Amino acid sequence: MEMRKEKEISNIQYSVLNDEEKSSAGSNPLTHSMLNVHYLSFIIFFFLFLISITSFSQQQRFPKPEFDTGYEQPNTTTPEPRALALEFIDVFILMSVMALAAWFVFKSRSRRGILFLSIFSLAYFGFYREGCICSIGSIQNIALSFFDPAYSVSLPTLAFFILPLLVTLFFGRLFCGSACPLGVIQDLVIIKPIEIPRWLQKSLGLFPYIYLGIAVLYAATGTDFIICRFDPFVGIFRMSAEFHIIVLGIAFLLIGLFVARPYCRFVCPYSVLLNWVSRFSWKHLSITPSKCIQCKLCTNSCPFDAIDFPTDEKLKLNSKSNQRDFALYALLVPVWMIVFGFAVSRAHSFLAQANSTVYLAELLIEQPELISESDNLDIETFRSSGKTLDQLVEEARVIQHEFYTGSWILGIFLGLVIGVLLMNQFRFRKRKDYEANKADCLSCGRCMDYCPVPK
Amino acid sequence: MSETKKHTRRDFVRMGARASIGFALAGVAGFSLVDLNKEKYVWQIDPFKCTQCGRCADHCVLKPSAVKCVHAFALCGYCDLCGGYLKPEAKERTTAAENQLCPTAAIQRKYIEDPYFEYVIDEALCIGCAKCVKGCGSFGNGSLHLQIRHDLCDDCNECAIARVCPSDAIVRVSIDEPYMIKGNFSKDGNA
Amino acid sequence: MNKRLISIFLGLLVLIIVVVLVLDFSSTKIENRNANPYEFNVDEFEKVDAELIHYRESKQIKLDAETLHGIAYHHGLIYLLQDSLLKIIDLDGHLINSFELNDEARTITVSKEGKILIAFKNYFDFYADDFTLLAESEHENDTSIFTSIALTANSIFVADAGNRRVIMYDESGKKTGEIGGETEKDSKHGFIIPSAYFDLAINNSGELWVVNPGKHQFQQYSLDGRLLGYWEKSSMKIDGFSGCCNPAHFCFLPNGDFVTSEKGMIRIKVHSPSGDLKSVVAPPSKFPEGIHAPDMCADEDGNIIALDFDLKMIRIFNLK
Repeated sequence: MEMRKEKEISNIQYSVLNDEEKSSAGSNPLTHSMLNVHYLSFIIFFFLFLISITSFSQQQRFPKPEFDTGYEQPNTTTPEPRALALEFIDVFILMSVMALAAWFVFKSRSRRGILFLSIFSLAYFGFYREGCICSIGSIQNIALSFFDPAYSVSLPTLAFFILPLLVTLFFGRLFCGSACPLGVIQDLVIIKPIEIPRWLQKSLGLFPYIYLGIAVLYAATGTDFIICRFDPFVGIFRMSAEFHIIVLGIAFLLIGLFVARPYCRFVCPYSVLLNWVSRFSWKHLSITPSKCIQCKLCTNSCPFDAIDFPTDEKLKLNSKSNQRDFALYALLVPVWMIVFGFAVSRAHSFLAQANSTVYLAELLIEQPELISESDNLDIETFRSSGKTLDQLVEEARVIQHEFYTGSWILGIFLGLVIGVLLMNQFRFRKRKDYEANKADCLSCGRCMDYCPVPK
Repeated sequence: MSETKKHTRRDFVRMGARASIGFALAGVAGFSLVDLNKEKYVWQIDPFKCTQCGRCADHCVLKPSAVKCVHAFALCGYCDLCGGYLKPEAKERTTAAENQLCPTAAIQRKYIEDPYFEYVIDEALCIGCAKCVKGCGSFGNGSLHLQIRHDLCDDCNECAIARVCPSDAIVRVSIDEPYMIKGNFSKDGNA
Repeated sequence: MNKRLISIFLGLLVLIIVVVLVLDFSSTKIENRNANPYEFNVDEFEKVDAELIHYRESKQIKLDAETLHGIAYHHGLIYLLQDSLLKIIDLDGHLINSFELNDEARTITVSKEGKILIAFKNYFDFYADDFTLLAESEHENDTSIFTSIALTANSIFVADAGNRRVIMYDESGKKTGEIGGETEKDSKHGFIIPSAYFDLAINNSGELWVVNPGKHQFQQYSLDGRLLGYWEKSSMKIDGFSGCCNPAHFCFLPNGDFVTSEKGMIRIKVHSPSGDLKSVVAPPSKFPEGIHAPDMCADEDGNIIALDFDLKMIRIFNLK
């Protein structure tokens, strides 16, 4: 912004100078300048600012040779990018897929319908659209647009972020089951899902929160889009990627043979949002179309361990002490927040090292001799950029300060998450039937097929 | 009786939570809509920031890279001795392979008339390594330069080359003007 | 497959994922990044035999300027075009005089008598040694880009890179003719000017020499525009001129030798009137990469005064 202002001023100065030129042209072209007149040098400075621009463009338009043979200079071709209208079609398709999914889940209760729909999504959003833009990655665009005034999201990106959440608020995680290509590709390779111990599930389930927090921190500071960088399946969708990304994708798929949808359950940062929104969804997939007859046929149908069993009657006896513990842990939540906030803020300079400006500045402060000696490309580029080390360090300081604030927020967020999860250990809810866990259920519809109750 | 009461209370809490999430989503959407990008960004290389480090060839998610060398013909000097076409140590100014600078022989040299030659990039062969860009820039007029070709580019949410570009030359530009061809604009972005 | 086997298998895969992530993160750390495998390398030509270098950089005068345009020498004084000023400084860098110009100047020449010629984009001003305006030339068209100017007793020669010609004027600034630069009779093209580098100069014997940069050639013309002779040296090696548009600038030593400066691979050299390399003034190692070719002038003793546009200083090279 500052720069722009300066330019405007320089334009004004230029025009003033021009008028003076015209009036004095011819009379006395060489005038003695008094060098100690400050305002003059000021004007000259702005004048030169403009000259440097015009002289450059003059050099740009150096006349081309005159050809006698009638040679016509070709134009540099500029193939157009994918039309913006097509992006809106993507949004429309996303919406239609989720609408169809709602119909399959709530009306026709057809697992087969969901399966075919999800395969279509994999083909379209995955292999045809090659994985970009996806709802998971759009978190970063939203975060960046909130913190970088120079960046703003486009409507399709915003739609990809908001629509699945909105649909989830009404109908549960239909997006995960039917529309997300990353989810579907894992869904198709489930062959022998093993049951993961509860404690391991709970602790691995913390990772998406950390991942989400760090991804937002890095996106907001303009450091990196780590969700996109470590998207394991994008290489498979594109059939072209760096080798290690392909390895990553294959590793996740191999794990997915035994641990159903490992990325969705233990990595995906978008799942954090969907999980919490889904808990309060207006409607949700139900295993049985009418009344549960406690036949237990569905108990092994869910590969994601997302079916809650009826509660043990005996537990009810302890409910008094349970309530006390619950209250105690609720009071502890702010403590966790402060403790984690402090702890993570200690790590802010470590986290900031992922930022290339910060990293370069630290490297050069530590080894100043590199500035003149190193033949490293990045250091060479810095050297020839004409920037001084002080300027670089100042830039790095600003970013580091953002990281300090950001890591406090990240820590507080993680403290809250852990506090609430611990607190929820003691939350007791009576359940008489076999029900889908609204938070974890991905609305894939497998359990519906197992329920013998007629529609 | 108490059962139903409990249920209504829970329903009420749920209703409230649902409404607040709805409001939060609307808030995010509203905030984004205020500053909405009417068009859309695509990635492009600012040729004046580019330092020809060669990473465009290797770090694109596509193999070969979606970055290609383009020729801004309006700036070309049509030289016989082209710094972008001939190796520095080339013995002769001919199209012989041993004289060519390009590692994939993607530049075609055509005789127009004495003493002028036209240089055209064969994009199917170009890998975007910027070797010729450096040669043209230092010994010639700088008419050869790198651009992201949007018929090839996958339009990644975050450009993998931008992450490793040492000079921050890969920038987001509006889909309206998806190219930065030299000669059509100058260093500060004005035409 | 039993459960234990599956667990080991899964553990291994998780390990692979962690290793991939750590490797990916560390490979993008600055010190772990690869060098450029496609580097355009002219290092071998930048090495210059120390025995060829007969000059030593004796002085640097730092200039407080935004842009520099040209330099000339006359009688112990340096005439410098800087920003919108003509500055006259002595060899120690002390400011003697300073004038403001009304336009963006491009090049300057000072005659033996101290008369000053300052060329702008498509016209020039002619001043007497007491800085009174003698004449302003006719303005050429917009495609003109004047890059060099020189004068004899009664005519003025201007290199117009934009229109690929040398324009002749009389002392009142009236155009008297043009030189198209035909090297051979059957050849239609004249000067090959791929970019705005086109220099000319007149030596102490009154000979007009013009660079034909597309051919790495020096051409001598009679004062009425006939080609009298030429020499050319095309080579990346130290004895020739490299790239296109070289030599970008040149001037004469008092003894008639050519002092040349090149862009691309920056180097300043002295060639004899027959074209042979006599000595190297400044090898490429004296200049950072990617800068403009310095403009030069020479004093009575054959010391070379170079104007470094990018480092923004005057660099004086003395014979060792």
